[in-house]
Amino acid sequence: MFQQVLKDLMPKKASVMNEVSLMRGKISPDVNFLINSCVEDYFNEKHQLSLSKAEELLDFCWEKLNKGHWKNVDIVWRKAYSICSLIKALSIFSEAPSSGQLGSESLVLKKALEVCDMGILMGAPILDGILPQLALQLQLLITAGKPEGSKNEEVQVSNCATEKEETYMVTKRAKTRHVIYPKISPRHVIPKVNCPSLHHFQMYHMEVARPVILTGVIDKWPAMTSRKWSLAYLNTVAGDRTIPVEIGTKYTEDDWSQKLMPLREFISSFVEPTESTEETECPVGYLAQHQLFNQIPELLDDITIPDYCYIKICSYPSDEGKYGKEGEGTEVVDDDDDEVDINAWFGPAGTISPLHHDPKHNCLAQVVGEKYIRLYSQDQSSKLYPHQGFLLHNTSQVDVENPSAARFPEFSSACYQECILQPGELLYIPPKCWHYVRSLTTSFSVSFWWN
Amino acid sequence: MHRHPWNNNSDEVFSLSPIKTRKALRQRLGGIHVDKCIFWHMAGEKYVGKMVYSCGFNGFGQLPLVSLEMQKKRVVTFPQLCTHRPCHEILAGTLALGWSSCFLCKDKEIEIHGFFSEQTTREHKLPCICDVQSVHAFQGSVLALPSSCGALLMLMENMQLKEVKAEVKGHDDSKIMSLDSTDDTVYIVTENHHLVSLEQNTTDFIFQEIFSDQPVEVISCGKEHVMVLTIAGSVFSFGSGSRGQLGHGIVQDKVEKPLEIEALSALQITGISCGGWHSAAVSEHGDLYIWGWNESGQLGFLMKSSKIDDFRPKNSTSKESSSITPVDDAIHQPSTANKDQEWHGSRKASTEDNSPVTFLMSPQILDMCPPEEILIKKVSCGSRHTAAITQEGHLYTWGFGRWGQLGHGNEWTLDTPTRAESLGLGVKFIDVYCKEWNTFMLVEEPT
Repeated sequence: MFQQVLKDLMPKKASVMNEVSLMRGKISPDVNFLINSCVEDYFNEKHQLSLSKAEELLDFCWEKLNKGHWKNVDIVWRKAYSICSLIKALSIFSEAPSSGQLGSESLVLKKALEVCDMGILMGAPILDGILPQLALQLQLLITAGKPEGSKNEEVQVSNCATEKEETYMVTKRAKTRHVIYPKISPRHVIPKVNCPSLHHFQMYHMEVARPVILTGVIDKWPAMTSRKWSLAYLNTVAGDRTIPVEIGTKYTEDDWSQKLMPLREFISSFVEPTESTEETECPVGYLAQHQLFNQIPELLDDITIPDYCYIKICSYPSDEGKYGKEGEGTEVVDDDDDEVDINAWFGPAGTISPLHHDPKHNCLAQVVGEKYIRLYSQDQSSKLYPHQGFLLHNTSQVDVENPSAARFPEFSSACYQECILQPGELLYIPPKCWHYVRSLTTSFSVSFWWN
Repeated sequence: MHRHPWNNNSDEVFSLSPIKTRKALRQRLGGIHVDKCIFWHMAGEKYVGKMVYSCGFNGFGQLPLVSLEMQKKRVVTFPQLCTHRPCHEILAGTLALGWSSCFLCKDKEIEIHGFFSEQTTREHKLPCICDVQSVHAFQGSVLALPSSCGALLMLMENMQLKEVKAEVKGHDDSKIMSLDSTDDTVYIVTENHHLVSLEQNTTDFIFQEIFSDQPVEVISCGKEHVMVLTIAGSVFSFGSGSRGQLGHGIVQDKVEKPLEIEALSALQITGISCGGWHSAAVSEHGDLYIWGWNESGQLGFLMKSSKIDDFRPKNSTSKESSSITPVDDAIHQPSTANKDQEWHGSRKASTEDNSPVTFLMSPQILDMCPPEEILIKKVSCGSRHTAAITQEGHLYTWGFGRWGQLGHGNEWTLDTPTRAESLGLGVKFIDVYCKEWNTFMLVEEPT
């Protein structure tokens, strides 16, 4: 059952100890003492003991991570969280029954995988990104270990999906949720351009903040062709990976919350509800703005960062630049100016992102399904009634498709553009441009943010 | 970026709820008298027949247990007898607990159990020049108050206790009466009832007056918030309010100066306690008020389960009276509320409609086990759990239980106050002291 790859992945004691020693002085002596003895126990094959100690330490780090603002927490606690997650996952894995009972083995692997994912989500990269690599191997083991019947079935479905449109997830569309298709008026339509030159895109769209739908850019992605992102495919590649899910229609609503769950459960409970759950009231779940491709790098092979996202406009120093410098050394990696920030947006029909704006250039790639999108340029802000206060100042109070004329009288006079974004299309949204997004079908979009 | 990366997110729903004032009702029942806190420095005689028990996290062997076999366990789920015998009825001060060590007050010595000076130890004796009146754990080390002078003894790198004089500008020679600390700062109540903070720079100690508007009687600190009880029975709070733990009705990033908790201003409060991110207060009528973060059910209100089942459509209408979650299944998520957030959640946070509560921004009465009315005498909060003693001397615990801190013989996390019965129903609980992932109890056994 042990694969050579996995064996090669196993960290050496010296490298773990080295990583731990780098934290000395930054974490309290008692924690340092316990981490050392935890690592020691693991390599002395006292896996029960290393497991207990890792759990104690994870809980302690968790409390540290929850003190004050996340961004102000010393990164050493996130590293410590990752190291303890690694030891915990390895301890669980080492305790796995060597062969025979397939069922219990897969449970152990899933548990270990969940621990890895928590280490990735809450921690910081350690030992050359060992956690995502370990998670990949564990997922492969789990998928390989599936009982023959269901494995074949999945493969078949995914094969079918690549050929036949019927089995594709879009067909779930009208069945699962009552979705209203808006009529797009010709006056408001967002123009489409087929694969423009970088120069054209920069001159006529980026520099003048003019939204555009780009066609012929992403439609050759493996995610849309050879490795089509069907539900079955996603389940096979990442079904047991833990992902954060937003529950509730809009993030501005009171009942909005976040939960962690395996992708497979998200798909079965929220994306593809069965007959029995269809009628009853089930909240909307949305895998939104998650850096899925950092967590699961193998999914990056299915997409390509559009060349347009590498265009830099040398502009006057922006507000964001100043804001970013305030935090000094403690800034989190994703604020790196040169990085293209890639986020996944995956959910059923009916997910809504309320009208808001973001500080960066944004290319929204529609891979699966359709989304209704409404755009208001920055100069319309006075008619859009942003929320007051620090937290939601970039979000409008108006329910775009059902505005209250009494509360927001100016809103109806604001100029806008709109579209129903189709699979294979890439929408450019300029910085600070207000956007409202509602999925009309099961939908998977990828957004690229850059400065 | 309208949303933050998920792990940077302001978590879930913020609820704001008014207190159900039952003062009038209670007064009709005929004003039940509650003893005011007896201060430890006032009493002196040894209590015979009273025992200290403790449970919870013991990964460093920090619990001073009589049983050597139990001493080896990393998690102690049933309360176990301790070697410690306090000389009065208040536990806090006669012993002090950090995450990895426990300090006991023994006349001219401080006894240390657990992690100390780069190793684990048991019954390490630290001699003092004078009688020690109380001990306090701070950042893995110990602070002590000698009974003779009003100074502060601080452990130096050479393992000697050094006297630190409290010199507050304008208040010469203020004696120290009591102290507590957040993760970063020590707060002191002086003999003239002022609140003073103690900060250490490289060589010196800086005392700074924080609050003198009203005479302070009791201080209690959480991880990053502070609460004081005045002689008049009013409660003030300051520090971080990111989880609603300040009780001012909103999520607050930081409150610099002590601010009265208005929701409690009409009440006479007799006891307070700060947990990691939650707070509790007991009124003279025996009502328990609680607020802050309910992430592990530490408020005693229905908590949001992290299990997906909650979101599946419910086809059965059977209501579960309590939700018991082995913590192993609970996936924790950090949630950092944002700066100066003024998010007045409209949803009612109460047990009546059985909707789960993540935060309570204002003090709310906790009915221990309705419809029975239980009056509370004393409350103490650990990092993520809570314990309360009723006027009959029963102990209830709830909240985070993964390390056995609830004392029910298991590692369950409970969001329902649950009576601790393992020592027998006849025992009377005199005092309870929760800190970090541990619970200490002072028990009078039936004769």
